[in-house]
Amino acid sequence: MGKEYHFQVNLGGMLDILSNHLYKSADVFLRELLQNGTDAIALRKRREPGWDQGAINIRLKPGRKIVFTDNGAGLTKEEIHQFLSVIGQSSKSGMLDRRLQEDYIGRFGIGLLSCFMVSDTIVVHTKSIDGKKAYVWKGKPDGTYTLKRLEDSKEGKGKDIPTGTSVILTAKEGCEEYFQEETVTRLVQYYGLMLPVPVRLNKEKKPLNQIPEDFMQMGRGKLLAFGEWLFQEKFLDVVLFHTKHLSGAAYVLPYKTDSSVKNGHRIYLKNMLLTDQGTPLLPDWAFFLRCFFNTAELRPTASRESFYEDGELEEARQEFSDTVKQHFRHMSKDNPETLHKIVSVHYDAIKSMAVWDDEIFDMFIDYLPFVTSEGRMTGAALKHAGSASYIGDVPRFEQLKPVFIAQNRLLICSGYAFDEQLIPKLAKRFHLPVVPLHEEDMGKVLKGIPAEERREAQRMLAAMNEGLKEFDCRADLRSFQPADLPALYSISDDVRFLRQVQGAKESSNGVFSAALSSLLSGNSGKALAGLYLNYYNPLVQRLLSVQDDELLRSMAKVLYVQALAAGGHSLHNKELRALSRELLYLVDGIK
Amino acid sequence: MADKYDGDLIQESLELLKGAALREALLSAIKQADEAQDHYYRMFFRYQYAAEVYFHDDPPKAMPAAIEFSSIFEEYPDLFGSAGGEMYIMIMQLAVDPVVSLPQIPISQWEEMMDQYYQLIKRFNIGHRTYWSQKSQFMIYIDKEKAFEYFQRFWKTGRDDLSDCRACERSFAVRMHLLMGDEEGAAVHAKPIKQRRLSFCKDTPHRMLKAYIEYAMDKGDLKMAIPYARELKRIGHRDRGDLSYIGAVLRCFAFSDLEQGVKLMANSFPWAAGLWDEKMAYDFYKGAGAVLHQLSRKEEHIPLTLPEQFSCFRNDGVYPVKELEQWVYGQAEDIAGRFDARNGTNFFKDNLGLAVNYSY
Repeated sequence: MGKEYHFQVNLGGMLDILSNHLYKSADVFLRELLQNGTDAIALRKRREPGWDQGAINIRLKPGRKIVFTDNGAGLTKEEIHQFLSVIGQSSKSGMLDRRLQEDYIGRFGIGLLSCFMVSDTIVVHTKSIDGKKAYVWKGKPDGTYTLKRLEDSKEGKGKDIPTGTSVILTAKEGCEEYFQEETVTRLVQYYGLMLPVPVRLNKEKKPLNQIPEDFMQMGRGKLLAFGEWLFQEKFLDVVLFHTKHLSGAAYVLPYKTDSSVKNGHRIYLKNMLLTDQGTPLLPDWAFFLRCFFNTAELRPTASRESFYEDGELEEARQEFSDTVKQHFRHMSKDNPETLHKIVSVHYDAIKSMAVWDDEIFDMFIDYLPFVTSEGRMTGAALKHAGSASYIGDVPRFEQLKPVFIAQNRLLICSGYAFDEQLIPKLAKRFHLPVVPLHEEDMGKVLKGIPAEERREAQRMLAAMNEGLKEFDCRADLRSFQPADLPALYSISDDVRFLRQVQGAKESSNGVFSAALSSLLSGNSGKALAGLYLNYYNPLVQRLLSVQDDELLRSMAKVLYVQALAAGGHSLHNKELRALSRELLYLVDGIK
Repeated sequence: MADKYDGDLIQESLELLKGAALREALLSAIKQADEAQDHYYRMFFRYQYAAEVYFHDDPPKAMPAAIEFSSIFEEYPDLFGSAGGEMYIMIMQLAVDPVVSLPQIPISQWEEMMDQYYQLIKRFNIGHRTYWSQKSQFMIYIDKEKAFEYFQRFWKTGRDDLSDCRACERSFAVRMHLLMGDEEGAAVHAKPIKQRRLSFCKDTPHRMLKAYIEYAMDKGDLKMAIPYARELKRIGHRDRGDLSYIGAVLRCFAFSDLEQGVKLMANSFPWAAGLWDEKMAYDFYKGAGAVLHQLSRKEEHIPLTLPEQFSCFRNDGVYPVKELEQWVYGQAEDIAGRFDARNGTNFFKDNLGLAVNYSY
C-alpha cells in the first residue's frame, strides 16, 4: 500500500471561497464575533452555575482598530490549537451525544475566518476559566499563526487579565467603514438585537441590543411602536407569535407591496440574525408583512444565511400560517374596521391566500373587492347580486361593460390576479348563479331579434358571411346598446392565438414560418370568430334594405375591420388590404 | 392631434399587473408600439410577452411573439446595443424550446430550427452551453443515451450570460442522472439545492422535485416520492405554467393524501383547458387520472367547475368519477400516441403504462 498523504489547504483560496461564494458580504464578520462571544458566555454559565454577568464589549479606534471582548469561558492552550487553528473544527461540535446545545449558535468552525475579510491579521487574547494562564494567538491569512503567553507579551505584562476572550482586528485597506461607530452600531443592532447578553460600544452604559424584556407581553400600541423603531414604518397592525419554532411579531405594512418582495424581515435563529429574506420560512403570500422573529429548533445552512429544508421548517411554516389566520379570524369578530382597512390595502396578498386556503377564503371573501360592470363590488355584495357572468379578458370586459349595463345585467371581470380562481370559487361555495362568459357564448348574451325580422335579414347575412369567409368569421344579427356601436367582434382565445400565429407567419419566412404552419395543422375545426351586427344601429338598419350583394360583402369587410379596431385587436396586412380595397370599391360606386 | 407615443409610460403601467391582466396589457402594448412604429418597444414588449406566456401560461404561445421579434431585430439590429444579441438568442430559445411539447411539429423541422438557432449562437458567440441542454431535453423522449451524451456536452461547455441559473442547471443534472437510473449521481447534484447553497429562480427547486417524484413513482417507491411531493405542493401551484409540477404531485398524492390531491386537482383542472403545450397537459392528465382512480374507490361523483371547452363538460357540474377517469386517461393516451408517432418511439406509451401500474 502506498504512503498516505494529506491535502494541503490553501487558506487564501479558502478565504476567497468564504468571502466570494459562502457569505454575501463582509458584514458577517461581526455576526461571527457576536456568535462566538455569546456561545463562550453560554459555556461559562453552564460551567459556573449562578454566574450571570455575561457581557460583550466593543472598543473602537475609528477607521483603524476594533477590540471585541467577551467575558465567556475563554480557551486553554490545547483548545486554541484545536479550535482556532483547525478549519472546520468548532468548539461547539461533538457535544452531548453529538447534538448541539440549544444555547449555542455556531457549529461549523469557520466563523473566525470571516474576520480576514476585513483585517489582515486576527489577534486573540484569551484566558480560560479552566486555567490561570492567558494566551495571545496571532493568525495570518497565509495560514501561519503564533501563540505565546499573554503575560509575557507587552500587551499583557503586569496586567490582571480577566477570564474571557478579546479579538483584535486592524482595518484592511478599503475596509475602514467596518471600523466606524455608525457601522458597528448598525451591524450589532442588525445581527445581535435579540442576543441574551448585552453588547456595549466604547463602555457606554446602554447596550446597543436592548429589546424590551416583556416583549411577548407588550400591548398592541407598544408592539407597533417597537415595529416602527425597528423597521422605520408606521404599521397597520401586528400579529404576535409564540409557537414552538417562532417567537416575535409580524407587522402589516401600511402600503401595497409586490408579491416578489421577499426581503426586509429580521429573522433570527437562537437570537442571532440569520436572514432578512422571507424564503424559505415564510409562505409566498407573506409579502404584505414584515417579520421580526426569533426561531428555534431550525437548522441553518452552512453560510448561516438561510434555513435547511426539513420537517421542523415545515412545522414552522404551518405555525406561521395558523397564527396569521387565527389573528385575522379574531379580528373579523372583534375589530372588523381594522380588518377592512387591511384588506383595502393588501387584497392582492389576501386573494393569493384565499385561492388555496378555504379558511382564509371564508374569512375574507366578504371584504375582497372585485371589478364589475357596476363598479367595485365586494364578495359580500356579489353574494346578493343575483345572476352574473364573468370574463377574464380585461379589454373585452371594458368593451362589453356598456352592453351589460344597458341590459341591466352584471358582468364581473376575472382578469386580474387571482380573480380567475376566486370568482368560480365564490360561485361554487355559495351556489351562486355566476357563470363564465365564453366568447362562444356571446350569441346568448346579446339579445336576439324577432323571428320575422330575422327572416328578413337572412339575405343580408348570407351575403355578408360570404364576404367574411376569408377571415374565418361569421356574421349574426343581435340587438344591443349602445346603439351607435354597429358591430361587435367576438373572438375565442383559440382564434386569437391563431391570429397571432398568422401575423407572425406573415412577418417571417423559412423554417420558423414552416414551424408555425405545422403548429396550426389539425386545428381546422376550431371555432370561428363572430361579428355581431347591432340591429339598433342606423347603419345596420340601412344595410337591411340593400339589395346589392356585392355591396353587402364589401360592407361586411369594412364593419369587420372597424369592429376589430374598436375591440383593440391588432390589424394584419390581410385586413388592411381588404379595407383599402373595399373603400376604393365604395368610392368607385359613388362615381 | 394624437397623443405622443410613450413606451416608457406604458412599461411603467405594466409593473403592477400580473397573470391574465398582464398578458392582455402586453398584447395591447405590442399593438400600440406597432402602430407608433417604435421598433425598440415593438421588440421589448414582444420579449416581455413571450417570457410571460412561456413561464406563467402556455409556452407555445411564446412562439409567434418570438418569431416576430426575430424579424424586427434583423431589420433593426442595433436598438438594444450590446445587449441585443443576448436578448435575441434568449427569445429565440423561447421559440425553439416549446417544440418538444408540440407533437404536430415534425422532428425534421425541429432540427432545421435548431440549425438556425445555432447559427445565431455562432453569430453572437453566446449560448453554446444552453444549446446542448436544448438538444438534450428534446432527445430525452427519443434516445436517452443520446440525451445523456448531449447533457454531458452541456455540462462540459463553459457558462456564459445566457446560461440558466446554477440551481436550474443542477436540477436538470438531477433529472438526467435519474433518467439513467443513477441515484448517486443525482444526489451529488441535488445536495447543494437541498441545502440551499444556490440562489433559486422561479423554477427551482421545482424541476428537481418533479424529477424525483416521477422517478420514485415510476419505480413504485411511494415513500421516496412523498417528501418531494409535499414540498412541491407547497411551492408549485402558482399558475397555469405549473401544471406539470401539479401533475407530478397528484400522482403521488393519489396514494398518500387523497383529500389534498382531489382539492389540488379540482382547483387546477380548468388550467388544462385549451392548452397548446401538450407535454404539460399530458403530465397533468397523468396525475389527475391517478387521483380519480383512487377516488373512484370511495366516491361515485365529484363536483367540478370545468370550462365548456372540455369535451367532458357537464352542465350540472357533477362528474361521474369513473367516467371522468376514463376521459382523462383517454386524453393522456391520445397525447402519448401523438408524441410517440412524431418521435418514432414508445416512450410515452411506456411512461403512461408505468403511471397506471397502481401497485404502491
